[in-house]
Amino acid sequence: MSQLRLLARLAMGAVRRQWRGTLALAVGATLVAAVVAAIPAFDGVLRDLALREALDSVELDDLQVHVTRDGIPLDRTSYRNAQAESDAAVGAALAGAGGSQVRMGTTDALALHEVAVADGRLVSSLVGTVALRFRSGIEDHVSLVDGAYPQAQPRGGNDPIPVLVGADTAETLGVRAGSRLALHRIGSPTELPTLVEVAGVAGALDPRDPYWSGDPGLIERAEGATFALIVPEATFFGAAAELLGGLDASFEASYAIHASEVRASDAAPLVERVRALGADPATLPGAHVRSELPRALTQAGEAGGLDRPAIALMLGQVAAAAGAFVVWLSAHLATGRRERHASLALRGASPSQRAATEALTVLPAGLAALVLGPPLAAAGVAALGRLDAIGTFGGGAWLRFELTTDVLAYGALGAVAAFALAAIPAALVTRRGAAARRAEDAGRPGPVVAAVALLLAAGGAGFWALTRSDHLFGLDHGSGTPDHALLLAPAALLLPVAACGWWLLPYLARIAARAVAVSPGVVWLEASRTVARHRVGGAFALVLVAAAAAVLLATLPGSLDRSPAERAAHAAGTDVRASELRGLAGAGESAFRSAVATAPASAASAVARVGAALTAPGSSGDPVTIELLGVEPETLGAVALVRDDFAAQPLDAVLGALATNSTSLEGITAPAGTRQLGAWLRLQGIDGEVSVALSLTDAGGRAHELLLGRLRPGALVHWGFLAADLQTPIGIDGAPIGVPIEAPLAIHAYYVLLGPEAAANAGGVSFGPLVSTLDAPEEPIDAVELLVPRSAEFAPRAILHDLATTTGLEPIADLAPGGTPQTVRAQPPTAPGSSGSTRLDWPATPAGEPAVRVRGFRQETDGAPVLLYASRRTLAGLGAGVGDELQLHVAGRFLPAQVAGAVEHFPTLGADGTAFAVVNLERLLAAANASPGGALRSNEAWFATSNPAATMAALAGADFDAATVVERGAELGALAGARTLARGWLGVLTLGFSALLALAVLAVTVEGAAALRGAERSAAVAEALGGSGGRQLVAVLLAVLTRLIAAAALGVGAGVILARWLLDMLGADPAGAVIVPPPRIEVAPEPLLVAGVALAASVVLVVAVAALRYRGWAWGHALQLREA
Amino acid sequence: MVGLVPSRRPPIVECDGVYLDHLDGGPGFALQGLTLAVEHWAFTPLLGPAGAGKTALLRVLAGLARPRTGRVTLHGVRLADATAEEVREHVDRVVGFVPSPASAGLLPELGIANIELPLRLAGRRPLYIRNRVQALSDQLGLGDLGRMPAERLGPAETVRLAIAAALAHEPELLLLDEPTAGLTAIERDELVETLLRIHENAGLTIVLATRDPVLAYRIGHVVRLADGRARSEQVRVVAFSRGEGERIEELAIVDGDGRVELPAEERDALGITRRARVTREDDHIGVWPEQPPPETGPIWRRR
Repeated sequence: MSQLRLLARLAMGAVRRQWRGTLALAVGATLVAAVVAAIPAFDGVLRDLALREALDSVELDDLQVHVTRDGIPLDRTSYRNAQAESDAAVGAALAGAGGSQVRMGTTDALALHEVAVADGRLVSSLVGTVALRFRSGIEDHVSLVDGAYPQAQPRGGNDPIPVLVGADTAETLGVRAGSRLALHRIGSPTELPTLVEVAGVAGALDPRDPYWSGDPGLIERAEGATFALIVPEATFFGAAAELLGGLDASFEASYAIHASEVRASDAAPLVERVRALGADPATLPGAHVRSELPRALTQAGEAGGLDRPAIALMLGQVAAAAGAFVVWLSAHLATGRRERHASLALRGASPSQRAATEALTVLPAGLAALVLGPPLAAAGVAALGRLDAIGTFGGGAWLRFELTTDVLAYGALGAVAAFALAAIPAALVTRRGAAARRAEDAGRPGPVVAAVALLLAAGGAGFWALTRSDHLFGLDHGSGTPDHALLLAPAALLLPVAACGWWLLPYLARIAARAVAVSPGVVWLEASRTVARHRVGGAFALVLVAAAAAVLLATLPGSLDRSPAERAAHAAGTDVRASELRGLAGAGESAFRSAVATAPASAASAVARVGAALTAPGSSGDPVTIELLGVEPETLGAVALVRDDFAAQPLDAVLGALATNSTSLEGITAPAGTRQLGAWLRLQGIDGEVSVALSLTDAGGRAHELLLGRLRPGALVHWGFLAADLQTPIGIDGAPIGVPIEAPLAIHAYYVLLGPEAAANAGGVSFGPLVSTLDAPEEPIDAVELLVPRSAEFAPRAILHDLATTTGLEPIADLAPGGTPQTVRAQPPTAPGSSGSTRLDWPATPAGEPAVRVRGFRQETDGAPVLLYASRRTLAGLGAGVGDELQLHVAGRFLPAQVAGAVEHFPTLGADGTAFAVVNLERLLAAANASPGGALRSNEAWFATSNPAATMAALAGADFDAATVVERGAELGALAGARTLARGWLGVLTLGFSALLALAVLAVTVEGAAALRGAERSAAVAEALGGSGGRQLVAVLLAVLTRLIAAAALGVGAGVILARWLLDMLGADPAGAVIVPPPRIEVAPEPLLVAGVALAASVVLVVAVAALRYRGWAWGHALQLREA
Repeated sequence: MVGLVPSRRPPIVECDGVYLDHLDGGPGFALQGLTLAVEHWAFTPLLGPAGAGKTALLRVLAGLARPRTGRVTLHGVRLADATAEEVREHVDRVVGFVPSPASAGLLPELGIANIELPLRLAGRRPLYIRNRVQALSDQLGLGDLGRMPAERLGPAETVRLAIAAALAHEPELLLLDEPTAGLTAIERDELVETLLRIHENAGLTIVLATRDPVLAYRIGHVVRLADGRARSEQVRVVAFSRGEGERIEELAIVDGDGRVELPAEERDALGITRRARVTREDDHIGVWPEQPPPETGPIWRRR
């Protein structure tokens, strides 16, 4: 013991002399222990988060345990005994997770008789069976329809028992507040009845309230056809128990759990205990236990994500970097103790005694790691709650964390490892001979070089092999499980680079030194020589590793956020998507929606998918062909499934913006019963065939281009009347529409369709009144040969629009990309019976430009552009940005559009890289259908359903071609796993980045201090020889900066370029499945900024200390390391 | 070597043809065929300039360096035949070493405790330690140090403390590497007196490396080292004839293979270059230049 004390005293002497270095060593060792301890800590927290998230999406009733006991005598004592048993058993099973409790008691059924007077006699007839029931807290969960909540009646008497009945029950029984009912025991009709009085009628306040355990009918029926009469608990065990003595009752207690109190580590035991409750008759004799809790917890626990080995692999690499720091610093400090050990050796200390002294010297660092490591890990993990992605569940608060046995054990393991890493090299350095040290300092190649060469060769072979095969490491695409070998990529990348930098850079520096030796700048010469001479670049290598690792890790969150392939793989969708409406070809929007409504689904949303093109006005570039999706902002959110964690903008935000772009297409209304539509008009200067038509929507929502007449060239130079019979309608193409058009109608456009030649020439049309009648035509209009118009209109008539002004109308102008030049002017009332007319003239179309064949008026629109969210690819192709105005060419119309935002993926779009845009469905249909030309309508429907198969079967019956796009349940499970994965990544990267950054700063400071101390000696010599010590110091500072810059440059090279190369290569999975880590690297600027600032701060510190020392100020000794 | 009192015991140190690499790993040898013997109870100064091999020899004797070739026998143990562990144990028991600077042999934060250190490391009893420390403090005049740490002592006190620490475990051979470097003349004289007193009282063998001829010749018979070899030894010769007393002679050293090194100045003076003529006479061996010097005329003539 005295020996130990002596050695400890010697060790403490060494520690006192190197306290700054020992402090740095303790920090390094603590970081090692903390990072190792963070493995189980973070694993636990991650699992807790996943569990809580999963439980949040579980029906609350599934998180309850229901214990039912039948056949208990209706008295308070029996009830209390049964309740106490249940409470004890369930409380023990749920342990600390137990939450609120709802109790319910129900009597056996009683016969309800109606008493009436018939033929002067009282006649009693059985109405049904009822049961008295109490349910704790029910008064807070019902809303009274009639009367009041019954007062408690603890004692029986002559007064009837006040009860509450459900609204449905009251209706069925024909009772209301104040009604009295007579109850008989079943089988005892002669016994005096027990009277009850309806005090109130009520219904469930919120049927979805977990209070009802999923069955709000508890207020209505006890069981089967037995009605429930609700009484207060005091009445149940008071008046009812007295008056119905001997009756049995059943009792049910529903125990909820606090989801937030369930820890992932406790879930399995909790499941077992709850299962045992129901399975073991001895636990609760005579009780029936029902709970979905085990299933919910088990499913919740199965969410994928980073498992502990994966976390251990990633954080293990960080711990290894911290361990490298410990080794380096310990060896550095031990070198400073070399003379001390020589003295001890001279005084007879044996090697084991010297080794023990070394061990005791680094013991404080080990103890610090042991004591501080786990709490530091706890603090670090808890602080992750401040991150947006992780803190969602805790409202950004610190995560709850406990120092479990696991964490303490891992922390102890890390501390022991750190201690060993510090003690062993220290002992080895002490024991090494001077010749060996000098040989090493002289840079002689040795086994280390061979090891480095081997490492490089192995790394090169590995990368080569990766280029040859995707399956080198057994990548398990699509499983969502992390690939452990791939997680070692940072180490595999950084070790060869670090080794290379360590050994290669001094040689390069030497060459540089020789090169600058010819320059007159002595400072630069000294700086380069210092770099070249500094052979044992331990700190340099460490800074390199730390910087590179930090950069690599810093880039990965960026990759996680912005990986297109990843997002495509998880893009969004819906449970069922129905399209290709074969049976509804030609059907209108209403018919489509009616068909959609027949499919069983919890939600449905109509969608229009159409090909389109976008052009940037004023741009000479080609139009970008896109897939255009019109969506209903109000309903899409309920059916679409989008990964918010991978989206640049949440779906809600996109839909919210699109919702502001809603509009509607009302049109000029023709009343129900309209039989004929007609119009007066006159052609002026048109030499060619002309068709006159109306664009309208019928009562079924179907769009038609209704031909009013087709005119020969030269016809209708005077006012003429054209009419169409809606019973035998003819389309603009001259073919009969086939089915009668049913009014009411919405007329959207009134126009002429010109032949190609006439369209190219100048011309004009005078549009007279648009009229309708309920009368049938005098003679049938059933052929297109009616090229000679009528001379007089039908009567009686209704003027739909007199065209004396263009109120509510506007010229059709969106059928050519550059607009349609035309003039509109009012004319005197020349048409028979009209109050005026409007003339539309157009000039001749310049040669080479497409002629506009449709001239006329359409209903007035708001003129607002179509807001669209375009894919980045689309916008990039157009050179457009958010807010820019574009022209959307869809279904022959050229519509003004405006970019509301950019999205990379949208449900069912973009996964294959196709350009696309998303717009408001209403806006799209209104803008497009306002002008003549094939009408657009919804052509797809998306459904959210719990039973995709049933939905699909129903849709197939309606002639929809339905397909399951995404199974919501599976996708939600995958999302939960992915979120866990994302959180896991983020947490690991944050922890790792923080630790490595701290190490890098520490290493830079230590290395700078050591270099300065060495430089001081040189400076002293230089000064003694008449040179400038200040210049020498500047030279050394330059050398330090050179090394730091070189380290940072190599770090960036290793961390970004190599990682990008590797991960790009691995990311080329054609299936687009999950690859961990995600395949694309993009630098996240914030962490890099933090790293840069921290490293720069440490450099500034070193420079400041150098300056202070040079000035002879005491603060300049702050970084003294007491080297040898 | 011939001592004042001829000894029947073998020398405590015997070196024969010892070659040792330079301690800094540089080319050449620090010791180049060094041959030397030190008798028990002798006080032997090693005199030579820097680079002569004094420190290298002491480090070999202290077990801190292992010769490349040659034979080193320390207190009856041939070091080359022993394992490193055996050498360490043997040296720890037999040798006390005061390096240069003396502070290198002390733990700076300890004062008198530096004397205790070897005893406590060896597990000696407290009473013995106390007595031994007291005795050494008295011998070396360290009583005033108190608890002052070594790093705050003056050069003379540091050397005394280092000597005390080196003597703590009662070695038979004390090695001192330039102990008087940095001392004033008075301090040096006091130290020498102390060392002579210790040598006389303790019957200790002392080997002291120095560059100071005055100091060396004051102590006694000197071994001169140069270029990693022992050039000569001074011996005391006692004549028993009347009128003659003790006298000191400087003798060349003959190594185990019979080699004798002729000093360069003698060779130059005699014109001995690459080869020499050796003749054996009845009572001595004569060494002559290979050829007599050629007749040479005057380089210049007077007019």
